[in-house]
Amino acid sequence: MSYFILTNNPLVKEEFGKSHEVEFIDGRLIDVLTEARDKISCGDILLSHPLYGSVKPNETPYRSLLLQRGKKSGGSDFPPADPESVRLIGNAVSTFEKFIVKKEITNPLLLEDFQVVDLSLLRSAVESADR
Amino acid sequence: MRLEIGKINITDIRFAEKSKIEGGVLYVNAEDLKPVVLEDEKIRDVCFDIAKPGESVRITPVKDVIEPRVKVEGKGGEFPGWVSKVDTVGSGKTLALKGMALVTAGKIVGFQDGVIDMTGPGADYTPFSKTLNLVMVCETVEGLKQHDYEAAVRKAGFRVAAKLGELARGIEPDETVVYETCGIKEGIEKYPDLPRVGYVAMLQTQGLLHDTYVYGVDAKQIIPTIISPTEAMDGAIVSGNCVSACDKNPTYVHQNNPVVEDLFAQHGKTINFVCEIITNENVYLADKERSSNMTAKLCRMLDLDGIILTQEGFGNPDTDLIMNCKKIEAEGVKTVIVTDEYAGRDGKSQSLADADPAADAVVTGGNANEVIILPKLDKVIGTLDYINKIAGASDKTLREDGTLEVELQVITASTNEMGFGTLSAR
Repeated sequence: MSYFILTNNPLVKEEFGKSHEVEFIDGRLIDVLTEARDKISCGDILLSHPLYGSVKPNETPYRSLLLQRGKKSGGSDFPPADPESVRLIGNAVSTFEKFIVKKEITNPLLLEDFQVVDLSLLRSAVESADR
Repeated sequence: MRLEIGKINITDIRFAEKSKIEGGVLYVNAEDLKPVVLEDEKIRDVCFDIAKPGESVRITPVKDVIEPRVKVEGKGGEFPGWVSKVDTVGSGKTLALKGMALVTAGKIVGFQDGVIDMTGPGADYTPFSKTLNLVMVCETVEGLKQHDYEAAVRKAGFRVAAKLGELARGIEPDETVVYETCGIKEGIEKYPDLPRVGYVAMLQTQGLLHDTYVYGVDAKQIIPTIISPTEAMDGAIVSGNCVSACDKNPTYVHQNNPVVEDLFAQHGKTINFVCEIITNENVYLADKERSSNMTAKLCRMLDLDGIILTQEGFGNPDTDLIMNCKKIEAEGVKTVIVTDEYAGRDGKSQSLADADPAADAVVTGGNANEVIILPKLDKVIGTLDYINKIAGASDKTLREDGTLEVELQVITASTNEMGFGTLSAR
């Protein structure tokens, strides 16, 4: 399947940059979610869930997502937005806003731990997509 | 399937020269247990400690909580796929050490949560302040990667729990409880007028620190399947989930699932408890679609009238929860969901990250964002080094007077989504 990875996690870029299409965002977790929201409103489709199951969005600075490019249909200049993707990314942004954002994390060991967990969760999605 | 659980009430834990159970007291020689842990060369050292209800002790960061058990009759052994071979468990006779738990603790990553206070206001929120806890803190070799660290400590916990369980072999239990489910045809013939009820357990399955295993298999690789609820009582389902302390399901909770207990209590009286269905909570959306489709199909094929659906975690799994609920309801099977809430510190925000009108019967395990002040306690088992970094904490968490300002999220099993905690609402 043709898809791309949207991420602000440097470890994901390092790991998948050569084998997959990676769009790297030099920014915060919320910047990844809002960029995904913009892309989805222009027709791209979410392939992985934008929230984790345990690590909360105000806790980790990283987020990596799988998206599929939208396909134009009919006479429109843009592909139609996928309603389920719109709903999921909207809920994820609302959820992020609900949590109180903590102080910026600067400890490199802690940052590495968060990068490794984000990579692990993304990898589980990539393995499903690449089957 | 028929499983007898023989309960051996443990009234005290003491370190001693010889490991044994005598007069309800568990005597532990830590030197007996050390080699069981250190047989994994990734673990450099381990120390054991004891925490009793009412003591001024805080255990953190908690990885898993396990109830020691031993299989004395029937196929297989405890923790199949890890300690024992992969024989199908859940029948015969198992002895369980009640009133105590093995707690694995120690840093795996720098943001790992999990607090068990044995006294004070925090103790009211965790069921594991009421158990006598043998705590095991592992130190691993230098440079070990996070995945290897998690796996080493997880597996060491099962080995030690099995070793402790062996001490019960030959001891007469204080009480025996029988759990028995019928075959499909047998159940219909035996209870023709009772509603057929199933239990759907969603297992956290997303990657490092977010995983659950079934008979040794990473559950993100399964498609939903049917098990006897008694299989989990023998350790067929184990936790590799190390974060989100409040609403993860430690192995102990799989062994002592309160939904299963309650359904068995009504089995043959008001309901026919048919089976347990296990499903996963994956990252990839097509996996979620497939699994929820399969779960709904199984509910229909089993001609269930109703199910109880429990989840694990928050955010991503809310989508699985709602997908399962919608699809199972659409098959005409009445569905009650058990979850917890992240409703903000004031309790006024949307509780779940997903919703649907079909989810009209909900049991809550409480609001994980609720703030609580935990007093300074005399002793810490594990370390407080990471307390400011964990979910539900902030840089203001560890206050100058030694007290902690945290959300309930940090407390192990405080808002458990199998109903193992004490919170709910009417």
